[in-house]
Amino acid sequence: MILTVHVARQLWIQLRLLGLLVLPAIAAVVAVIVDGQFGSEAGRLALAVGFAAAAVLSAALVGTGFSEEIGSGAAAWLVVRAVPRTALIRAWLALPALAVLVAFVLAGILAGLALPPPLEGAPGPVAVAVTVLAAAAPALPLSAAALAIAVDASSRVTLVTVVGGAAILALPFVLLGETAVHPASGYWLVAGMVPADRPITVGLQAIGLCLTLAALAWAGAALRFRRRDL
Amino acid sequence: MPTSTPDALWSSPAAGRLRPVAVEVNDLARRVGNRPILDGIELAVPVGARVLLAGVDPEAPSLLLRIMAGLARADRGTVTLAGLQRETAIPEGWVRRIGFVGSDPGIPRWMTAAESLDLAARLSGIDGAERQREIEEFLQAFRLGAIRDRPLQHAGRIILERTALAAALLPDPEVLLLDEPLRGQAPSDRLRLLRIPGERRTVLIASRYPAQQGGVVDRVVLIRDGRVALDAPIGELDVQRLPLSLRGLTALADLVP
Repeated sequence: MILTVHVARQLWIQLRLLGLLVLPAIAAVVAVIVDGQFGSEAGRLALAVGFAAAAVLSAALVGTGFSEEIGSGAAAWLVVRAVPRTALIRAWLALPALAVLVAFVLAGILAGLALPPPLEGAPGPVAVAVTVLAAAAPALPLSAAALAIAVDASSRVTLVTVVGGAAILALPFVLLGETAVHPASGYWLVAGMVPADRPITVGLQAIGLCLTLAALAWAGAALRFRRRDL
Repeated sequence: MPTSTPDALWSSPAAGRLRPVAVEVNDLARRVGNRPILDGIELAVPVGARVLLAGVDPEAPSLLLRIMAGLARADRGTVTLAGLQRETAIPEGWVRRIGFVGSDPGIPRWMTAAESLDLAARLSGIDGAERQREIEEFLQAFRLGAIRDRPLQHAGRIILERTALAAALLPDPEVLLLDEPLRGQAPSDRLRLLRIPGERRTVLIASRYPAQQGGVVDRVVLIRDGRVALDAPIGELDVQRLPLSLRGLTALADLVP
């Protein structure tokens, strides 16, 4: 609990927590503006792209924050006080993940209220919830991967690697499109590109994939951090 | 500064005869790249000793202390501090018995001096009124009272170093590891701060500038070729009319069998 409060305060004072909370909301506002200018299809596409960008930038915020924590010696200051390294890196994933989840849910509600429903008819509340969670989920593996990069990299290198790496990784998902279920399928749900009878199935599968990838990436980050000299 | 164990107990003849060991290092080795910085370190430091760790390779003493503190890994060997091994120790037990201050104070700069002492106390399991009392006591003892509520990012290195030392001493550790400490302090302040109270407290200071530790340490250890080449009372330097410098320590290592 002491560690959780400490990391939360650090994220807040460095304005990273604010960034995590407002990025999805900015994406939603931009989508509403695009919707008003170019129609609902463009608006939903803008929301999907905005959510993807928010997830990448959120991961970059987490990664650069952890990198600064190590680089400044603050992580060492905690570790010599017998704070387990695993607990430290867990707090650095769990807290931002919670913030991102809350932010995406609020942004999803905002967008859901402002944008017309996709395809024919309004989706049910379960489908909407799954869609929002599936759109939030990619931020988790991205953040865990950012932590793994940050263990040995400066904050600038972490930022470039996370943003550049995410852009490269996005290509196969863009090429795969809505025809296959993949970790980024939540964005296709948001964009209304998945048939109306499948959003829950696709969304749940995408969330499962994201959680699995996040667990693997976090385990890699924790292993690297355990072996790192501070 | 409070010390939980009466010093008189540790300065008694019985304790002197038993020579309890506070720091025990066995066959410790670590390579950095292709260089064996530490290559089979064997060291036993008695309780209450004030030890200067110097090295022909200036990286070696610092690395040794950071391995002891759990900040760096060893390729092989064991370290026992105050009867505890880091891997198996209960965190609360470790943090209350072992203190470390690095050359970089490392305290999050967004915290104030009072907050950093409060966090150090909480992580050490010091609660309630005792925590508040000790924080106030340490703020005064380390002359941090005037800037207690100002974020450390607005303070200079002097304040950061004093805060780091205060935070390390707050749990009243039995073993204190100081890696190039207090470099930003004026020499007189540095000496005053490094004369850490507590006869039963064992202090290890890694330094590239042995001469600066005069009056603070009573024992010298020289690491050469990754091994302990010298482990002797500081008085040996006077006996051999050698200065407290790396050259003097190297010469003494060649003289002492």
